[in-house]
Amino acid sequence: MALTLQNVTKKYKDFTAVDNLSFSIQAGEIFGLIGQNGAGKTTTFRMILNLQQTTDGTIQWNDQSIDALNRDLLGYLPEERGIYPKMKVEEQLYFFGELRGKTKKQLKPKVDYWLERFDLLEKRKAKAETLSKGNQQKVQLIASFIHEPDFLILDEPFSGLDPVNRDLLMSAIMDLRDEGMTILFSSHQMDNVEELCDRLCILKKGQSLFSGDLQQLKEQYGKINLRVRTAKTIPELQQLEGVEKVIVTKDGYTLRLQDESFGPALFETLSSGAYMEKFSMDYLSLDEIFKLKVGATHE
Amino acid sequence: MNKTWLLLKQNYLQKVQAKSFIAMTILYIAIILVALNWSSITSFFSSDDDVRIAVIDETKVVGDSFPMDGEISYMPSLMSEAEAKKNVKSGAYDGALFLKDHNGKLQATLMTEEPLSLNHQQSLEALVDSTSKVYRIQQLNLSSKEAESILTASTPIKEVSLQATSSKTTEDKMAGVGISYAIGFLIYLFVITYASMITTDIASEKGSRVLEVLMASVRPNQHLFAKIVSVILVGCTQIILLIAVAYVAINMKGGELQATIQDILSAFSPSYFWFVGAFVILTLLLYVTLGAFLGSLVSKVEEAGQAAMPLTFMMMAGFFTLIYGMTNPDTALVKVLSYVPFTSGMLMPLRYSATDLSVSGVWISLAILLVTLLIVFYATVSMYRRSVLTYSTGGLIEKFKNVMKFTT
Repeated sequence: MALTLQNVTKKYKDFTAVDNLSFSIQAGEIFGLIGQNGAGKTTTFRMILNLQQTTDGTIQWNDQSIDALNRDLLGYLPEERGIYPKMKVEEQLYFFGELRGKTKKQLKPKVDYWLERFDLLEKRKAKAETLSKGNQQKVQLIASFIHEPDFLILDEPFSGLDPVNRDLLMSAIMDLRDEGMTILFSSHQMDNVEELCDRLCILKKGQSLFSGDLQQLKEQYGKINLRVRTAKTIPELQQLEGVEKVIVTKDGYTLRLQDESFGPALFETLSSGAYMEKFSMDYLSLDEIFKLKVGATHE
Repeated sequence: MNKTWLLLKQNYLQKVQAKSFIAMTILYIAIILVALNWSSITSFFSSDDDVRIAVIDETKVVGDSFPMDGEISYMPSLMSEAEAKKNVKSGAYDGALFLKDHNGKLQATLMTEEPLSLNHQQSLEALVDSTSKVYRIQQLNLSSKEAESILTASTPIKEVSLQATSSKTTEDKMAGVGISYAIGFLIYLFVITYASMITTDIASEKGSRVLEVLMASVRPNQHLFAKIVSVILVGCTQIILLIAVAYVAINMKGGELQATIQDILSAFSPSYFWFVGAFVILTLLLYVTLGAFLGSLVSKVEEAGQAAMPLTFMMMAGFFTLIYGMTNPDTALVKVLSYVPFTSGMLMPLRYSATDLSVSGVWISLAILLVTLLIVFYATVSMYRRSVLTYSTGGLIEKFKNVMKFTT
């Protein structure tokens, strides 16, 4: 395991920000930390970065205390973006690279490569404050990994990006993973998490509701999403055995089943042995699971 | 490259290349050059209004007291009043001064078309005043030597202090007041400039969240140290630049000004300048460290001005006490505040040069300043790592409480 959090707790005088949190990240994987605002994601990141002390528990990197980790091996993109508004794009990247122990000579090809890949070559001499929000975000992302860290932490890397830039960022993150970088990131947008990471941790009010493999999480719930196109009415559908909830969609219905074992019987009933245009059983999306999990414990 | 050095270099270069810094320095240089050439500038503007006054001396004895080649040219004349009136009206003279005897006293009447300017009026009044005294003495039938000896009689007081330290002469003390005021003013100017510079700087890094990125790679004390040293270096750059400009300008001008300045400076012992140097550096460090702390408390750059306010007030307290102390540096207020570390930098040079304070007093004040600086520095370092990542609303005290609450 590259990173291991064991029973990590962060208490302030009158509330607990992170409560007994445990998860581990394997070397070279992308791990997602999801949760609502105030769930404790940023506090967790800050504890991993040693910006805040833990009240209890241990954080280890390669079986050693995180305190011993060379800071130059870390990359960090905070939730609220941090760049020097008056500094030129290129200077900014060199400055952050040098700050993490690289020389200008080592950085030069990297800076050129990433500026080109992110379509920022024309802006290299521009002051950061003159860039659009999306471009600023791209500069900040490059700055967070220009020194090729072993471990990269991205706090909400996609917030405020248009779909084109989002895809650009996403493919960059996957390439970094392929080069062996271990990546921990947080997001509100579950589709991003689903697309990027294999394993994740769901946080709610500082507590972990789930930690582990995304596929396992989905399998826990089973294939209980049934999408159908049928002539039956909503009351009729609600009467069917095993159907918990009927959701009207643009081109039909989505039935939430009590269990995936009701599938074959429902197919029999709905098709009545005839041709059926749409009958699709699937796992819940991460978004749906998140709402179920967080909603279920909503007091 | 060392991280502290990298931060320091980046911050220093950014500051000295900033337009505001360059503009400020040019402004200061302009002020210095204007101040050094003040007499030439004023004479250039006043050269064309040569004032001519006709002196009609009916006593026949005092006319010689009025020089023809001073700021005002006094021309002896035998005109009648009507003629004088005509001449003044026509502009041949700016005025006519009639001197008459009235019961053994000198009576003076000035006739002008337009009133004289204030400084000409004052110099004329002073001249008439002294002439009237001479006239009165002459009326008492004293010889002119006897008269002069009365007028120039003065008794310098020889001061004997029972303390071991050598007592300073009044002239030395006056020079001390002057130069200490200049030093106090410079401290005031530089401390306010650089303390608010660091407050704004840290507040803007905190506001733009760069600080959070930096904190992930450098230790908070490295960052704080780099900030303080770079701001002090920016300050030193400016001071050295200004001193160099002043030095070159004085040497180029040479003559009387150079002699006067050398004369003033020679009135002070080298130890005075060492002490002043120590006070300037330590006071600057103290305020810049406090400025850094206040900057780390606020959440965005817009709040920086408000945050730096307490420092400005403390500086103003010191500066106004200095102005008050110039007339009497021995008052209790000045004495007390010259030991308070936040004001001692401005007041101790004054007391050291303009009173008979012993060197041990200066050392004590310096020691208090140094100890305070170390305490403030230590406290700032320990608070800094917590305050830079805490964002909260409210006043400074509330922010401080939040830092304590959310980070312990």
